[in-house]
Amino acid sequence: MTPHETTLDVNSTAKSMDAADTESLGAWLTRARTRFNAEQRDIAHHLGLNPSIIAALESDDLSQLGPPVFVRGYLTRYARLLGLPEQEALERYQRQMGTSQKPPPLQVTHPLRRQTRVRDLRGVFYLALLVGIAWTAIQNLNNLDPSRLLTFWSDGRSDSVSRTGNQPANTDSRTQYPFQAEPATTTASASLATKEAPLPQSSTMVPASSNVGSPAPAAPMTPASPPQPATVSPTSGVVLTTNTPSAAGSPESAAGPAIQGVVAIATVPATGTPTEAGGASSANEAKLLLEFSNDCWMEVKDAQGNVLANGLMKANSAHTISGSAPFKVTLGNAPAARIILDDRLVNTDIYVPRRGTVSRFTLDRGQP
Amino acid sequence: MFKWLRGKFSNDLSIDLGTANTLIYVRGGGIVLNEPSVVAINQDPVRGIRTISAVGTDAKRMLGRTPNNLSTIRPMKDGVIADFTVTEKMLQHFIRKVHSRKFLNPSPRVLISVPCGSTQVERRAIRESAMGAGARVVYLIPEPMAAAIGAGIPVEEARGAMVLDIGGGTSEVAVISLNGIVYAGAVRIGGDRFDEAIINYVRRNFGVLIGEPTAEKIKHEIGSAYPSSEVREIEIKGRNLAEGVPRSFTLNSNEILEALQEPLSGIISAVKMALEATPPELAADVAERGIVLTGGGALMRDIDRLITEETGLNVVIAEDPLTCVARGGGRVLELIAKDEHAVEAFAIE
Repeated sequence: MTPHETTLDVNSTAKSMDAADTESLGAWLTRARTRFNAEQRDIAHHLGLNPSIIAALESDDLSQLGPPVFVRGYLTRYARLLGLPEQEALERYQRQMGTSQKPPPLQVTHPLRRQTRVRDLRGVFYLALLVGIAWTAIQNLNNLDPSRLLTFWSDGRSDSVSRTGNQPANTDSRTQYPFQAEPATTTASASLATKEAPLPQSSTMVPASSNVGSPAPAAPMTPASPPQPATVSPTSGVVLTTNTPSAAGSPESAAGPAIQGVVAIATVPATGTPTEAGGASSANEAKLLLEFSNDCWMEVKDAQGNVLANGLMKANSAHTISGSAPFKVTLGNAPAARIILDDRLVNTDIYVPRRGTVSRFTLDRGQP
Repeated sequence: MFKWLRGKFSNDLSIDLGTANTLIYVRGGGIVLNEPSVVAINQDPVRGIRTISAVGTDAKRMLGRTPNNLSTIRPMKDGVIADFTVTEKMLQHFIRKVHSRKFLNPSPRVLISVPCGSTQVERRAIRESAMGAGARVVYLIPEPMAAAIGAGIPVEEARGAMVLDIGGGTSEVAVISLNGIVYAGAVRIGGDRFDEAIINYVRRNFGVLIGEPTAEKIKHEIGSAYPSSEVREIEIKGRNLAEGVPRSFTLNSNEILEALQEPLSGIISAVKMALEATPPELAADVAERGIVLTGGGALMRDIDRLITEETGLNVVIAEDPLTCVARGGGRVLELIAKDEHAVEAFAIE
């Protein structure tokens, strides 16, 4: 061998080493496998791996093999089987993949409720809503009138009872609230204003409960005198007179169904003796006449806030109320009402609301 | 007191509180501490007061070489706390060591890996111990989960992955999918049992008593889990039980393989049990990808080959298996720092 040939040999060896260094991992593995005349399938079978993994390793398609931790395992075993240095195989893999071997950041899948922050504010919204409702309720606490609820309950009950026709309707709408002072004397006076057929003396009036909420029935009352259009009890501040024509023409009918004509009988609880009560109220005593051309719910309170009358007034009926002015009036169907205060017609047009029919206003002497 | 304020001056830590070694990963700083879980305690003979003399590497040097008033304690046993007070002191020492600031006592958020086979009482002891050491918040994560994350397994995927973590006190095998543990099993076999097996083998066959550090050295140098054509030897010294004098003798790798048969078969049984209990879909994923080995036991020569031969599955040794658990915990801590709700995943307590 000439020196020149020796130089060529050294050069070719160096070149082949350079080529081995620069060749890809897949080519390096393929070259090692072909030295053993082994097929990819044989290798896969021997290692207990899927043949696609061996194919991916040899084609340098390493991204298909999943996380680096598993690729390193495949490479180590493959290199060990082929008798290649494991460390070199791993180094080649590291060179080839560069910095992409860093594991991807951890991911946590949150439940759906965690995905939007807006939903986390639902609690705050509900709390604000609750506070708003509570604040409104506190602000309007004085305007709340439980009598309306009681009246509705009473009306519904009387309606259902009257529909059955078995017993007379309880038409006494006098209300006694729990927060009100117990009246000194509770007298329920009821009279039936029937022009054509006055009640006979012997007729016994079906008791009208003096207290709507009270389950105890009142004692039956027997009128001592023939019925009058309006009866004013000494302790009674208000007498409602119903002009509803009654169909009761006989004593039998007067005893029961005739009572249906009575719409409302309210008794103002006296705070003192009858004389005292009369003396105190006589200074500002006023008389209120309400006529209804249509069905209308009505509530009237006097200056002390006592409920003088409330309930559903029938069409073509008139009611007289006396009490201390000013009156706080609530009408469910204001256009149907005609009001006369101390023989002076009140202009109700100004109280008719723009929307709806319910109006609330205060009536006093001297007002238009 | 003022833990919140002190927390502002503390780094979040992931602690691998192992039976053999304690590793600490600082969020954003990587592994900053890797020391043996050994504490040297000095007992005053007059007053009887116990004081900590050394912790970690310094204490391990004293292991088996201490005078009467000094004793070296390994406060962790089988992956759980054996001595509560000493563990607390050791943790306190390590936490202070990784915090360079001396102005305020550190009060970090700590994530500690616990064996999945540990009881609630044992976990509570670890939590209390860390709180006593100054931790502000303590999260506990199962070791196999932390090991899988540290090994780089994509645990969030709907694919099964099996991880075998061979630690100092326990070996744990788990099948993980969708950020949760599908199956977990643990055996109280680990590096300590390997050392114990070697000590017993040497005493039985050579009549020589060797210490734990010597057994550990033998394991590291010539320990092997699978027969190999290459036989390695080591010369060791011990006390001859019959003569009572120190003797020197030679051990080879095949003898150590024979000594380790019992603990190794225990680990293989645990793996086989896990495979039997794995749901079929996940078992198919495991068969395709293989088993990932982590922990110090994964460094034993040819242990992957042994498991491959026994199970027929591909076995992968994770990169830097000793630090996998701490690194995995660190990655979870980094995620928790970004997203507080991450504590609901990864079986964290």
